[in-house]
Amino acid sequence: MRPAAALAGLIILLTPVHTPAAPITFSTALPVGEGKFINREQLILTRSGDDPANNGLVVDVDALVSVLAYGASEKLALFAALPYLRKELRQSGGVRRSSQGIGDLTIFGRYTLFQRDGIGRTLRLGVIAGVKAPTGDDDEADALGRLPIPLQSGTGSWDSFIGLVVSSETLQGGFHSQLTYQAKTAANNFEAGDVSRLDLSWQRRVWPRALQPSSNAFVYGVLEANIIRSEKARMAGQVNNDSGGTTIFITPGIQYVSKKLILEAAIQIPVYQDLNGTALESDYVFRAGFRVNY
Amino acid sequence: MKRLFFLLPLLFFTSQALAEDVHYHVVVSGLSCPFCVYGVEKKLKNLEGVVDIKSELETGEFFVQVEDGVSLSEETIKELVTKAGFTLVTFEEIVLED
Repeated sequence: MRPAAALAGLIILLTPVHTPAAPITFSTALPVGEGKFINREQLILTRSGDDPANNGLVVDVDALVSVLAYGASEKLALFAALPYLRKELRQSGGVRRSSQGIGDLTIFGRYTLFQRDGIGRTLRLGVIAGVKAPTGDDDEADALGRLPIPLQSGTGSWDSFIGLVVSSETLQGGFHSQLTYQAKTAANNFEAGDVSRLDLSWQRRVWPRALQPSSNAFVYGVLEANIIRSEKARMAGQVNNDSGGTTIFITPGIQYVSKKLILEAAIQIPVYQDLNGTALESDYVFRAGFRVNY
Repeated sequence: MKRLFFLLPLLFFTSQALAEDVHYHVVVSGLSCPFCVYGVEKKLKNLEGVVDIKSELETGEFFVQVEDGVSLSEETIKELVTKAGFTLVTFEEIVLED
């Protein structure tokens, strides 16, 4: 089995988180005030080591993703996300290959289509659309030659995505949902499969139990679900049958929210993986980070 | 009762400082967490003449104290709250007698 073929199904998992919002693993329809900046930094540790081909293949991807959000108006928010990536592949026989560097820049906008506010609650519906630019290095090599595509820091391709985001929040907690479709384009004789995903997030305030006038910080228990469907990739115009498939993550997490700062951590546990051929399965994705309200 | 909790310190402060301090009571809807409150507070603090702001998330209330001689209009506050991404419910001036 070629490492590149086995790793092709991983690409969606390497896609950086692209929004600084209430859920931990995806976006939200909550507002970014006009002229306001929010900065989000998130460390994402991804381990994939369940190798159906029994080659002892393990891939670790560590990403530090920096996101800057800007409120262009009360309805339009603009986002830019740039990851710094460190990737390592290990295989039985002592083979070890790695890379590190700046990844692909993602820029997108979110427009609020519907807003209904009440005292202590809000319901929002928004659309998002964006593009991922090939800013990362996609031609890295080591002593063994050019690194396989999933080990490159950049994809080399321009990919676009659209989606719908719904957020409903009260003082007790919230529910967020996002539906997106990402269209991939070809680069370096490789085209990753398009990706559809449905993300769900429930949040429940666990502290303070009862609100006081002095309550300036909340702690939420978070439970998220990510349903990710990836089409098969194409290499040199040929369909790669060892790529693509469906993965469902269940993601418990915790979030501390104050006026200026959000601290958060979550672990994405794959509870269902129906991947094609010998595509490498995910073990877990750990996320931890913060957001700052400027 | 909670409103009283906020008003008492304001009354105390007012009696200690200037008898002619002006306060505004602003109610905003759509706020669901402290992170949201900060967005409105920051907009209010940027207004010229605003001295102090006290807020309560549960009721969406903001008590805004301004310098002597400064006045705020409902139109200004509504625009500011809207730009923060929320909805203004009520706006009223609070007159505290000597």
